[in-house]
Amino acid sequence: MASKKKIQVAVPAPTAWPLVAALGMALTFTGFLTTWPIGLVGFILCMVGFVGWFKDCYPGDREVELEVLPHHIPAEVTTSRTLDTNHPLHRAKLPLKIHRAPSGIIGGIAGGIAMIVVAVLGSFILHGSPWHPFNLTAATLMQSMAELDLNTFHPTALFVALGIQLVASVCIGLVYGVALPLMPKHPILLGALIMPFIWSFLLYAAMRTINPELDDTVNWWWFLVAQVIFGLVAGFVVSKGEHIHTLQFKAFAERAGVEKNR
Amino acid sequence: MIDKPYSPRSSKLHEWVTTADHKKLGVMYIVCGIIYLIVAGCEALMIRWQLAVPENDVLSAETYNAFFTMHGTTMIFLVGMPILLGAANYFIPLMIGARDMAFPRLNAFGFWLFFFGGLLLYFSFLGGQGLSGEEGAPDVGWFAYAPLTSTTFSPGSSTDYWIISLFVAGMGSIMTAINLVTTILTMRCKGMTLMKMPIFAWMMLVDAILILIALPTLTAIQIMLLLDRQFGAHFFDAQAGADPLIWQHLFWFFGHPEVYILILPGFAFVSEVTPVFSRKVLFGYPLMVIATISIGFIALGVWAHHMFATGLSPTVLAYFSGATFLIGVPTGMKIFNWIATLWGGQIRFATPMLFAVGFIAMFTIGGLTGIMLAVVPMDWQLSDTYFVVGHFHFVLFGGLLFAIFSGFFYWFPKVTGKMLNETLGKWQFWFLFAGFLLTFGPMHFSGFEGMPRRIYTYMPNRGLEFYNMLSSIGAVVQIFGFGLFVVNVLHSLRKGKPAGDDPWDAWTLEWSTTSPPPPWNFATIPSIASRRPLWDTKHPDDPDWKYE
Repeated sequence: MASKKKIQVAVPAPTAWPLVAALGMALTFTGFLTTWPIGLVGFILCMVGFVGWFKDCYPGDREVELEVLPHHIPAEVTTSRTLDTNHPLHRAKLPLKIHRAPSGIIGGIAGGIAMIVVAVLGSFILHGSPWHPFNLTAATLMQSMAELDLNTFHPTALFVALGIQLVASVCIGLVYGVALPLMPKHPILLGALIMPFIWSFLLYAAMRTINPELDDTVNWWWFLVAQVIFGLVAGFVVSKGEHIHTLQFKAFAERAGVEKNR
Repeated sequence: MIDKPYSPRSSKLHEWVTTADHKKLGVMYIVCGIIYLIVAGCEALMIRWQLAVPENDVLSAETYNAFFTMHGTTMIFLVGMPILLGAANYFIPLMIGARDMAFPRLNAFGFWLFFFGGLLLYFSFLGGQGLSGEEGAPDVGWFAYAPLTSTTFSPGSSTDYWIISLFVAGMGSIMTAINLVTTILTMRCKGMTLMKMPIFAWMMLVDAILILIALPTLTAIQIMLLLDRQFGAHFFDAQAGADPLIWQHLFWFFGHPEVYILILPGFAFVSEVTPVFSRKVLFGYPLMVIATISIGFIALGVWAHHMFATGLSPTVLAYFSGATFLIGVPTGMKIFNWIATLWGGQIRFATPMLFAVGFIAMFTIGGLTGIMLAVVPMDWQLSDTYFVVGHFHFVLFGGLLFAIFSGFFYWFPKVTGKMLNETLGKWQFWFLFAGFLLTFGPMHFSGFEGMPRRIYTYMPNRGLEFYNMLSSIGAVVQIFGFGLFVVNVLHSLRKGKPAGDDPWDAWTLEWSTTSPPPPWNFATIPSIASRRPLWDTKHPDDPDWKYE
């Protein structure tokens, strides 16, 4: 509780000089657009304002001294809805548990394989050949694919497509590894539906503009099914992976690996 | 030198115009900003009225040009900037435990320059005739591309009014930025190290530094343009061998950081509101600081993404596209931190929190469409279409304006001592939210359909009627939201519930003094030990300082 004895406080004295200087400066420039007497009046006002301002500051700041009573600092908690400070996790940073990084990598690879199976199945049904999705994936990097038949086997295209699939699957698997523990409930829902839907619709909306030719060759319904299957498998594998506690309650030296876990 | 105390006989008007008190100046900034918000809103309504149906003739092409120029210029320079600088003025000294800004008179000078700059811009409606015999307000767009601004294409003095008014107002902003940087770096109370400063102060510090780096560029090119127009110089005159693209480069060197100058204080508001209404400490304070500084740096190196369609070399395109993607990283970190702050909290959906959550959602969408525009081929297709208009309104309306309303509802009780009406506030939020989505959502689709921005009308049967009608209906819905806001403020000022010192059970120092705060802010300068000094006071058994 602060003392109730009155004390002296000095605050800056009111002054009109900054106003006068600013008005003068504005009028000086207005003189360019109107008539020179306005500019001249502005310039004079500006100078008068600056001199007045200078005299406010030198030799010492012009101040007003006030006699004030110290204010009581509010110390009571006024809202009923506050966190229970006695709860052991009151200062916890969520999430308390996360997956190990390999869970995301394994989940991504598993989802990627499942996606290939679905894509090949779709290619058989729609095009009568298993190679269409591989060639189409490769076409995102290989300009030469535009001149080739997408339904025939091209070894380079297969190699490139598998490479793209592997990199993309591992990256998205890692994202799942980080993101799924952040979902308070139903992580599979995020993995299998929300993220594939958002991703597919973003790509669907953008592809028309980025690459209309590629857009024409993609069956977007089948694409969506393949994405959902990826999400379902990757999400399932990731969520079944080992949960480990975050290091938040450990000392900094332990978190930095300087000291061994006790 | 000590004067006599304030005289009780001096009039209210005299007290306000001669004040050097940071709080009064802050309030004057904010009130001016709100008045200009209403003016710019009316201009936007006229624009939407004109575009509601094809081949409409409510506005002539010339008047339409003046309206969209004044709308953009007003919203950026006379609404966004003053409200944000006003909030910084009011709360920075209170939050860091100081009695005033470092340079109180410079602070007043900065405000009055802004004030007269704004008046000068709107005086152009009356005085635009000037010496040259042409009339009207500026009509060259808020970024005033060369060579459109040369006297050949823009005769008369309306463009000169644009130059001079923004020059004067810009000088005011620079003064205020100098003051903010000095105040934050030198006047923090005992115990408040940089890493114990409220996150609001950190964001305002980076913001003020950005102003100091970016705004002088605008001032410089405005002087160059004025010399071109008034004294026959040839900085941007293509016919005299100059390159008009120089204007675009220099303008956007200011213009892109300006977006962050506007949005960083929005981040600051939301970063203060979200923890208090989640009843949790802000998640990842150090990362928030790092992200803010990173944004400050990267924002200075992405300007040419506004110029992808001007024929830049592939190397330059690749750099600016990459840098634009890069700025999504610290921005994304902030979004994750706000969500993590909400998660597991005891969330109170009072009006400030509604606007804060609305901000997070809408800004995320605006940010993502920004990333879409960073893809060069995408930008080539969508540059200067309504997609871009939709994108930046998601950032600056759904983002910034929602953040401003969040901060307004949060700090109004501190500034006035009265609570705003919660029911009216919630109705305002939902009207604005619905109206906003209805107005700016369809713009993305009309942009995809190829509708260029800044056209005063369009042909029927091009697939644009439906989207434009939706946008115009949305604008009407927004009127109710803004109307409720004005009613709420006026009603609450007269009959609002007394707020008390700390109505939200908050943690930063401004809530430790009276509402409204006295001229001296704190009778005794506080001393703090953690980022949440009031938490420490209220919970002496579980203080934060043990954990920071």
